[in-house]
Amino acid sequence: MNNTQRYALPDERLPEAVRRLFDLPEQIIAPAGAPRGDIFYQPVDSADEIQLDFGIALVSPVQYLLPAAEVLFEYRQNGDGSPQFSAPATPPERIIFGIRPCDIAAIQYLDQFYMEREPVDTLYAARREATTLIALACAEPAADTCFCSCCEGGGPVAEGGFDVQLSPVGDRYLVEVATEKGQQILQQWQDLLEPASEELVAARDAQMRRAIEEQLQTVSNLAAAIRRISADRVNPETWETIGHDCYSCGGCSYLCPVCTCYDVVDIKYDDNSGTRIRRVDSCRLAGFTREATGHIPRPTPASRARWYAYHKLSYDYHQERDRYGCVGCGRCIITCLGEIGMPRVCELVRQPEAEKIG
Amino acid sequence: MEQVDYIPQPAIIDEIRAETPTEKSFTLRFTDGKEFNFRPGQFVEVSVLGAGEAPFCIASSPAQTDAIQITVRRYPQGTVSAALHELEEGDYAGVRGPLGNGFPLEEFKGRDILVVAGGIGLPAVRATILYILDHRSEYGNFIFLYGARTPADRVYTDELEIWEGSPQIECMQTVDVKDEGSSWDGHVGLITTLFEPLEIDGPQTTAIIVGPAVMYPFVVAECRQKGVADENLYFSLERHMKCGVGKCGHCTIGDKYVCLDGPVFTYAQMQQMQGE
Repeated sequence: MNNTQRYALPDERLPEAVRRLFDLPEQIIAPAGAPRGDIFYQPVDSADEIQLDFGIALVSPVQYLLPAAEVLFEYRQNGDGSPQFSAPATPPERIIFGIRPCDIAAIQYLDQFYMEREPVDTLYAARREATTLIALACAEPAADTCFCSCCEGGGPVAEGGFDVQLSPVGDRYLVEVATEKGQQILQQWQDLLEPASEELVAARDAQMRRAIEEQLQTVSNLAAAIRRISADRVNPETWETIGHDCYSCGGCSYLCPVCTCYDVVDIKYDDNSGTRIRRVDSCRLAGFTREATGHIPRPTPASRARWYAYHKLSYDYHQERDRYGCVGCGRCIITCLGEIGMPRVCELVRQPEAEKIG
Repeated sequence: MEQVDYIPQPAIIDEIRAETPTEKSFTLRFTDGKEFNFRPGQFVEVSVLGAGEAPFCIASSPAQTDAIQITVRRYPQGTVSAALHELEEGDYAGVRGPLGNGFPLEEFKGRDILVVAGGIGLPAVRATILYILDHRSEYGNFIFLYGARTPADRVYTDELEIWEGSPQIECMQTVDVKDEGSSWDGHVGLITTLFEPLEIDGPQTTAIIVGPAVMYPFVVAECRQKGVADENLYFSLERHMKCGVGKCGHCTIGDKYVCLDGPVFTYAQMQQMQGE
């Protein structure tokens, strides 16, 4: 945070600040309404389309870095049968405006997974490089499903990982500019900004602490569950209970902004050409680990529920990734038909009878 | 930093050999002129364009750098294995790799080596056996035990015959059952029945065990009985490794990616892995 520059932007100048983003060559992705009132992060052509008064968008804007499906390559077979390959197109330059701190935390996790942990995933890295992130911090939990204070590095205000962050405080926004890419935005906004007073920063931080306190119960359940899961001290019957309520629909992992698992499939255009794509997959589905022999290493909903929780919350993974695989966005709670989103799983895991003795 | 390349290297199928009614060996020769160097125990992702990509261990000697061999069992549910079985000599396949860690054969130098392979596990250790035979003076006693369900299920039968007659390697075979009318006059019984007469210096021995999972606990028990330490028991694990580079998530066991951290693990490491 040392190099972060801080400014104040009065509320009434925000529309002009947003309008000026459209003078930049980048495509603008921002929260905007869909026909039935849902909010999606989508490409917008003007500031009028953008909606900033929303809770949490069900589909994370992480989809612009990790699309549900993408081309790995296309191929064509020559007359002698030898293949010719072509790499996917260069990704467009984009600004994602209005991204929440939970999704920023998710992107930090993804950066580590795809770009810092070798081998580097070049397709993700190219999109990431082409993307500028303008975060919108939360003055209070954006929805009653939020538990973003669960894991270090998360919370209603991003500590890093953004290029620019706007924190609403009273009648103005605290504007933080953290990176080179952020400087480009700063240039657009220069004459709209005022110096940020210490009071403004203090007011934002006080507001953040209040938002964290509102989430305390969930957070303490999570911390306890992390300890139990890491020490492998969870009674197998607890996973059976959770597995019983799991429909194996994959919804939690499809919406989870830190879930990275994918499937790889070939699609033929004709006998001599086609494409190989990767597309989102879910470890909650029965066939996820199926092998050619027909053997399925994790055959039951209980075994998959245990795996999912372990992957996201164990120290083992934390050591490797520098953070837990949950950012507390609450989308699993919203989508789960069995009502066993992450906080409920943690609550069940921390109950005394869930502990495995010995 | 090392980067993922999802585009395979083209390879022409030089030779196809039917090992058994369900298994074929393919020699894949690279057409881009690049040397292909690997460690025994590493694997490749092999593509049949339009059908997909699947992981196979490299079964040929690491001394050969212009081509590799894989041995593929055809399964009713295996899309890529079925597509490979339909290919003919002169057809093209794609290869990504080498992938995974392989066996640390440098570290094994000076030690006695016991290789135990069951059924279709043999292709996963063939590169290792050929490497040790090429560097025979650097290793101590070298024992190879091979078990198959029936005599007709055995792969690489010509080579097995050569190894059985070689003073360089103590090679023993067994079959679980002798098929009707078979001319098999060798040992009949589970692979564990080969252990009892073996003279093994336990602490001096490194064991490499590859086969169906059902075989593992019994072979581990025999090795421990002979005094081989858990950290000297090496396995090559199988999972459906779809990407081979630690990203797609299909091959995880506990916090390990079989494709990236393995596929070779010691028994001591396997005991630390949480989950199934």
